[in-house]
Amino acid sequence: MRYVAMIALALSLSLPLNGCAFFRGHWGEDFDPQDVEYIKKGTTTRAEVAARFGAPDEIVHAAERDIFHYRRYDSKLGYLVIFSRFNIMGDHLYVFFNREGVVDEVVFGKRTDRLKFQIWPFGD
Amino acid sequence: MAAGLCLVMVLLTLTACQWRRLKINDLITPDDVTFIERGKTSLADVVARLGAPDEITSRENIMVARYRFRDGKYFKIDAGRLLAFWSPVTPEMSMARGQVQTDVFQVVLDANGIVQEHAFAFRSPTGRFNPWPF
Repeated sequence: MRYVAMIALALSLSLPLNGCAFFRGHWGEDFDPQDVEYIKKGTTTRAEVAARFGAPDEIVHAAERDIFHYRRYDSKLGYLVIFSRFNIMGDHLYVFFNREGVVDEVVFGKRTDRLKFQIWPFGD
Repeated sequence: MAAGLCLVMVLLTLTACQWRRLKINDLITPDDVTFIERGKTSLADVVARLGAPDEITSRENIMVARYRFRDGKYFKIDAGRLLAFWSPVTPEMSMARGQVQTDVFQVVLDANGIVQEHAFAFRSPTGRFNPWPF
């Protein structure tokens, strides 16, 4: 009995010692909400947006309008012995310009606020 | 005695297993998009409920907004790891399987940003943790 208990104890101690790790990775710069609020429909120009945010990651020409697309990704990995979970989310900013090069629409979504370090791979 | 042996067996088995999960963006289900009405809902309405799309492309006078999301599950059992407690050699004797549920939700908008069509591009079956590779 004592022998079995010792093995069980050794194994249970060795499990967490086998390894745990937390990794974080970014791609692109985080969006400052003040910068996004700076963009005003009908007044801010293409040049002002470019000066504030830099060159866009992508320019889409859609329905006779140019769209500047800025994006950022964040990832978090939690690893504990036999379980691991890797979560990735992206933030996107789209600035629509009219034919005169003035902001027509702004679409901004920030998902990375909800990104969590998780180890448990089950569930949502 | 029996309980101790069971505990040892469970721990030994656990050391041979690996559960891994990869998740890219939150999943969007058909229930999440029931609010969208053709000819009425605008891009702003969609963004307010689903967030900004991952991609906007254009073709002639229409725009296509795409939401991409993935959920991957990987399960591995390596019976060789059980030998590590008694043997200096630990050969790999693994069975593993990974499944990735990939989906794209597409919204087609007219030049004014009003939804004309919407659909899921793929509908992968929901993945399970399953090591059986055959």
